[in-house]
Amino acid sequence: MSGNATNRYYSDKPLSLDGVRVGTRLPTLTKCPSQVEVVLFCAAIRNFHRLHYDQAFTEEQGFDSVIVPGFLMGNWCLEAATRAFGPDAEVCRLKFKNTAIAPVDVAYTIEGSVISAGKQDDGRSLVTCDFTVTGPSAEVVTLGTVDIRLA
Amino acid sequence: MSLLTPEVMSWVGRSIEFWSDPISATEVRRFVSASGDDNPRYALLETPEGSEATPVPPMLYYAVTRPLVPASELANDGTVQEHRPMIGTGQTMGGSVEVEWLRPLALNDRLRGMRTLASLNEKRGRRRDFVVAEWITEYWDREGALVVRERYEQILF
Repeated sequence: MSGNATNRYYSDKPLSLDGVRVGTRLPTLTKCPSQVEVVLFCAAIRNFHRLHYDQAFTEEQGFDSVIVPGFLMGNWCLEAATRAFGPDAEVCRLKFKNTAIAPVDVAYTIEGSVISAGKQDDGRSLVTCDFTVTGPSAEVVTLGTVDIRLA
Repeated sequence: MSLLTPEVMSWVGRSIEFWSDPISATEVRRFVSASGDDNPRYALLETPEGSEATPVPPMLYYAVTRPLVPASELANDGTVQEHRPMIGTGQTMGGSVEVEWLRPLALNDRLRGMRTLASLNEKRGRRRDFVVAEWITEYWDREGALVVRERYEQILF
């Protein structure tokens, strides 16, 4: 792996405990998952729910489009946090809740901000961030919380 | 009529034990390419013997513990008809998930899971009545150390 590859993934200036306070905003991540990407992800996590690939079944259930799986949107929150805090960041908790149906082939914005930051008993830093995953009509489809441990 | 019959409620407190596949480099590559999260931390898959364990994407705990079954054994909605009470049409959807990693997952980890149905609560929805099942799952490594705790709310209808 080259240093450039690392730099393309992480923020130019990774956040640290000293550099954040409650309310610090993380760089925004955007995603526009296609149906193919959703199928690939479902195969990777062994989720075969037809809502994620079967248009006819999905319409029978009253939805217009096949649906982005919650675990993918949870992973977006995790990804946004690790990109922001750099290579020393270690995810130690993730919480997410789907709040609305998320169709494929539309753009989503993943926005996060710091809600707490401090030292743990072992001397390591713990930062907690809240996230929203928002669709094009400004509807929040997922709420997430990520705990990041820093060396 | 309530969806929570006495037979359904008798499931509360029941547990099931299961083992994961070992976390392989193939599983890691598949997850990384499918998720689009190409964190360079997970590109280092060649670990010299004796060095620190190679970390893998945290969410892989879920992938490697899901059962692989023939399509003929899937429920109508495509989900695995695994250990769960049959409620209403038998269909399910994911609700909220909370996962705590007590240490980073690593290549070759093999997890033993214990999944317990903690509660069932009936709710009135706009489209239909449904039940929220709260599952608590703990995952241990080969040495018996607790690695992951998960709380998962599953919607049954």
